[in-house]
Amino acid sequence: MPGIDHARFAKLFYEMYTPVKNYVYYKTGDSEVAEDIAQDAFLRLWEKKEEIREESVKSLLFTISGNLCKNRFEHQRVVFDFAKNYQSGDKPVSPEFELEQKEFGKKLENAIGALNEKSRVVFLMNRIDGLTYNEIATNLGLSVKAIEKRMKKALDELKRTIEYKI
Amino acid sequence: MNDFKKHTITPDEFRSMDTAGKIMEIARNFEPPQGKPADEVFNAILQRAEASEPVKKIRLPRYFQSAAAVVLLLIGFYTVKTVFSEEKVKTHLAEQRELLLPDQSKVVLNADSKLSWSGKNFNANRKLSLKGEAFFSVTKGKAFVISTPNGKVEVLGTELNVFSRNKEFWVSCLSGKVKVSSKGETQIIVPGEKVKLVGKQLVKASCKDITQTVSWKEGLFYFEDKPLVSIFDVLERQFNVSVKFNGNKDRLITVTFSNKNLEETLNIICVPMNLKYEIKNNKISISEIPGKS
Repeated sequence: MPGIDHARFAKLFYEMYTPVKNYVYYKTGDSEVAEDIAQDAFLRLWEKKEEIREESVKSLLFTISGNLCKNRFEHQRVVFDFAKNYQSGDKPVSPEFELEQKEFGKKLENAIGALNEKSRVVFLMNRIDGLTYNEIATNLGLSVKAIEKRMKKALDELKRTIEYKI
Repeated sequence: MNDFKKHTITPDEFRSMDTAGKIMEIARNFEPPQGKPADEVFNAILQRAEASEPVKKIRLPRYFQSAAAVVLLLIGFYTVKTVFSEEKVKTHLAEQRELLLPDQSKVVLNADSKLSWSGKNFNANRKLSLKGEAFFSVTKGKAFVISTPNGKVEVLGTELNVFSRNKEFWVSCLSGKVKVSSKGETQIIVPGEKVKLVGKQLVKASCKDITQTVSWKEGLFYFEDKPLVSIFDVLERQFNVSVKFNGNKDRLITVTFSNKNLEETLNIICVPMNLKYEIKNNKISISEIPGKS
């Protein structure tokens, strides 16, 4: 029986809102657009609640969000400004080490902005949201092989940019 | 995902890594902007969904379609009327009215009072404006805001009485919690408490018997140390009469009366205050009995 009820929708929302919002952010580099689109995507899902099948609902969310991005505008080079948390665990790191990490972080941030969209999204979903290749593949409706490829491409590209700059 | 984040790294470990390792390590500490709290977004979605409930598609015979068009047009007129119109209820002198709001909250409107609210999506947007006096029994839900010319009252599911006439403004709380603001000041009252506008200040006062502040619903009026004039105002409203009084208007009176019998009420007020009254049609003149004080 297709369809999801209110409780299931609420659960899905609290589980998937942040990953979906982040996904759009990785694509667009615009946090307000990301919030808007994620909200729209859930709204559309809710409006189609009778027709939805549980198994495919997550990838459907990402597909809707992706399409909504396309409708809005073309994205050129995006600029990221992530908040950075170098305080590992409970103890703060030494100021020198923090600075070293920050400098590297800044370079990395710029390099990520210059990546092509497909590799960037996969790389950040894996790194920041901690999703496995398998999970990313399900969400985006791609094969695990494709995710591996994009991840490798992202890493190569980032390495090249950063080492070149150093 | 949490374990993933908590991973700790020492400076030595970091420095011995190659670029790829550093990239993987540093990137995991990046945090995307937080944005609005998820709860807020979730509520916004449900509200928007409610506002645009999808229309079910039903196939109809052709002749039906034109009939349906006419019906739709009528419904359209009706919706436009309810969506854009303000709902208004007014009580005349000597009239009390009970009403049920769209959210099932109960209101008893005292005489010569006016209550209005927006007909559009009231459940999500419970805003009303009041002139006069009313008792509210508010169902649980979104914030319920009553605006009066003298100040604003906010509640979340409770029973309360709001009085706002001329410069006089007071609110009593029978259950739940009520937030009252006026002229930049805010007070929160709990059951048994009453808040009153004195000059420009909201002053809290606890009542001996809070139910007396709403006894008007049963046609009983209770006043403690009230100036005579304000009692006469009540008489005018409750009996639809006009009262003329020659004498000291600022004398205070403590009195209980009902709105059933005018003469009886006049006796209750006048005898202990050493006043006499005369009734001509709907006009009452009251004066002090000379000689005694």
